[in-house]
Amino acid sequence: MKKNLFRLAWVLAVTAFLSFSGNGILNADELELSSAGPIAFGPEGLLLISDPMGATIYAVESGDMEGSADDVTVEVEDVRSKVASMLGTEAENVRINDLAINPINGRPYLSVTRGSGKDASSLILTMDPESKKLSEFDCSDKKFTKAVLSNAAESKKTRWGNQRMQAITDMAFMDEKVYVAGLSNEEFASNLRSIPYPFQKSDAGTSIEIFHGAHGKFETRSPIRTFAAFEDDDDTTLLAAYTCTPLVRIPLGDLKPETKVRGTTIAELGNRNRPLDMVVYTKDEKNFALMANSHRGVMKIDLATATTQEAITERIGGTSGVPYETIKDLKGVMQLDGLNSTHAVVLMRGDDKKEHLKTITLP
Amino acid sequence: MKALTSRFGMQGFFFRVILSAVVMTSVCGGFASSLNATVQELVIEFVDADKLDFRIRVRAADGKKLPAKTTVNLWLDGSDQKSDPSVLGKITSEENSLLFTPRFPLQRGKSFNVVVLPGGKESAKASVTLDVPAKETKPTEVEEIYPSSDKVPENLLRFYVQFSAPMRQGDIYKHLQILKEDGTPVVLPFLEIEQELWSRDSTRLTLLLDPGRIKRGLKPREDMGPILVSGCRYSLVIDGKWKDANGNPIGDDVEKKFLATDEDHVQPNPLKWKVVSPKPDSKDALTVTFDGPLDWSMLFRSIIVMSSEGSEVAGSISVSENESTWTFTPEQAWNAGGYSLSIDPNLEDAAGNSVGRQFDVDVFEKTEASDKAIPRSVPFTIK
Repeated sequence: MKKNLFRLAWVLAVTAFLSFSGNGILNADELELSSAGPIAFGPEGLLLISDPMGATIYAVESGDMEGSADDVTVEVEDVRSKVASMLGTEAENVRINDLAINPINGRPYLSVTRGSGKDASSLILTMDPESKKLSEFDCSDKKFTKAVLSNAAESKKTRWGNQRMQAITDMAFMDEKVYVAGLSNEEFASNLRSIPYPFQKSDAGTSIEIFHGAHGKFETRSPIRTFAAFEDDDDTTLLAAYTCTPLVRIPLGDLKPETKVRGTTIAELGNRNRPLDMVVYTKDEKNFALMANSHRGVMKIDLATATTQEAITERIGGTSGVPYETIKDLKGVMQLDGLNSTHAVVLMRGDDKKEHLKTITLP
Repeated sequence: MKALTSRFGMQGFFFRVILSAVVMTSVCGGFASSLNATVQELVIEFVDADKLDFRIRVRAADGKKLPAKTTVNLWLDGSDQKSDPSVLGKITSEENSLLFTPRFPLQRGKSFNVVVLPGGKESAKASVTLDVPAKETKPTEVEEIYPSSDKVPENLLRFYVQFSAPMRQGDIYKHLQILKEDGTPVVLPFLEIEQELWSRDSTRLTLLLDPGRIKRGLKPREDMGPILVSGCRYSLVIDGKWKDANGNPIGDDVEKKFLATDEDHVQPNPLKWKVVSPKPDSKDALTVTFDGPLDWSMLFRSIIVMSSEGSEVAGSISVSENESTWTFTPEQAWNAGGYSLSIDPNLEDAAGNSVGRQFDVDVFEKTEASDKAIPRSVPFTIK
């Protein structure tokens, strides 16, 4: 079993098409984000930044490749207020859209927005774990390429201020592909897109629509809230937490371009809850997923039977499927990412209602 | 050391700050009085102060060079300057001056402390306070909630809430609820996602109802019941304390009352639409009446009028009759002859049934089958 620590998440989406521009060149244009969504790391310090408003994924060669993540600790009290201070406003006016840890050296990166509408300002911040000093991740001297996610078909001649947006709920880099999940603010349709990296102009991109059966009766396009990928016997499997039937297994090999894919429900993790974020990790040679939830705390899910668990097709009460435990000590976790083989970093809301970055031991 | 602090609005263009162990007089008009000439004076100038993206220039009043290591920082008024990071910005050295350019335009309606440490020395600290005027704005209102009808199917998939101005994003769900007729709230009716579904300009919110509660046979519905039940009355209530992008609450609570009707699993069928064609050589409107209400927003981009040559006809669209009537007024007069409506198969009704397929289907194969029978075009003739 390979050791892997991937982090993704996603959704539903659309019949969007992809086009690409740039190809490893140092761009004359500055990278100006019109919005900032999920961020993720690829290999060799490649930082992926999503700009949902600009319908663009930027792949930035961060150059942040020094150091080791082994002994890093990330701790920032009241991080949202600190970010707000840097942006000259109060905490209530800023949003921390995502957290990503550079796997090379454990350095945290935050996707951040101040305000909304046309006055919104978005940027990527990073932090030196030792000095705890936050600073802007300066893209101006970095090489970057981008993939533009074009909008759905629409009339050019009758346009009345197109308000359609593609919310990008998460993305990840895996096997030389960038996986992007999004949810339209208009039509309801679910898919996951994969974009080969390096981005190529000629590549049309692929979209995969994923259905899953619930109780064997209906196929739903319900949004996937978060997902992670793990490798077992060299096969990569996506583990997706849905809004209505929480845990679904999707073999990555099934994700053929422009097709519909059926996922297999392998666990029901309880109602009145929404999954928020997930990481997959290996401990004592066993694979686990750690999933943060809105109302049911942080769950540690044993993936030993994740690829063999039979589909749940009957109505069940409570929870069932692959085994999991709720980690009682972890409360208020909103986002998480792997730090190293033994630790993860979480963005959590404390009892004081303030948001903190903390390092936790992987349970 | 006490620093001279002054407050001024955008009308002030530059100010002198005296560095001294003595408190100076107040700053007024555009210049500070300089009472103490024993130490070097600083001039803090607001460049392009008549614009929103102004910058701050610091120079010595005597025209000499500033001491090396001089720093210029901004904090939001009330910050703890020891522990809170200063406002992001770029310092550039100019001839005998330093220019601070904030990373983003300073936020309207806020006050900032501009702090200069000549030579980097805390003992020589000088600061002024800058009030950035608030925007003059009208109170933000809820303009419309779609679907506009007061009757919606119990498997309703979404509301659109249209505001008159941009709203603050984040933590929106605490401001929204669906109340039953007895005033008790429906538990967790919305698909609460971190990436809130706002329009580009942040004036329109798409509020998805939890699809797991809409379709029979899914666990959330079995555990918690449906969100809406046919025959029952509800109110979508928007909290008046919800703040707009400028931080002002919208005022009073806004309520949309509606009656839930039977489930709608019927796909919109363009073959059942009634098209009323205008006369040739006129710019009269083309009117299309649907077989039921459709998604308000998608109607502005999902139907395109095509000429017989296959080119798109330019014009304006309006939607009425609770989103069941679509009107197209051309820019140029109609020619006699054949036209067609080109229809995006993703066009949906309020329950998420699209022209292409039902919202959810009972078997996987049926999904693929239904995709194949999509009427994408409706012909009509101008005569």
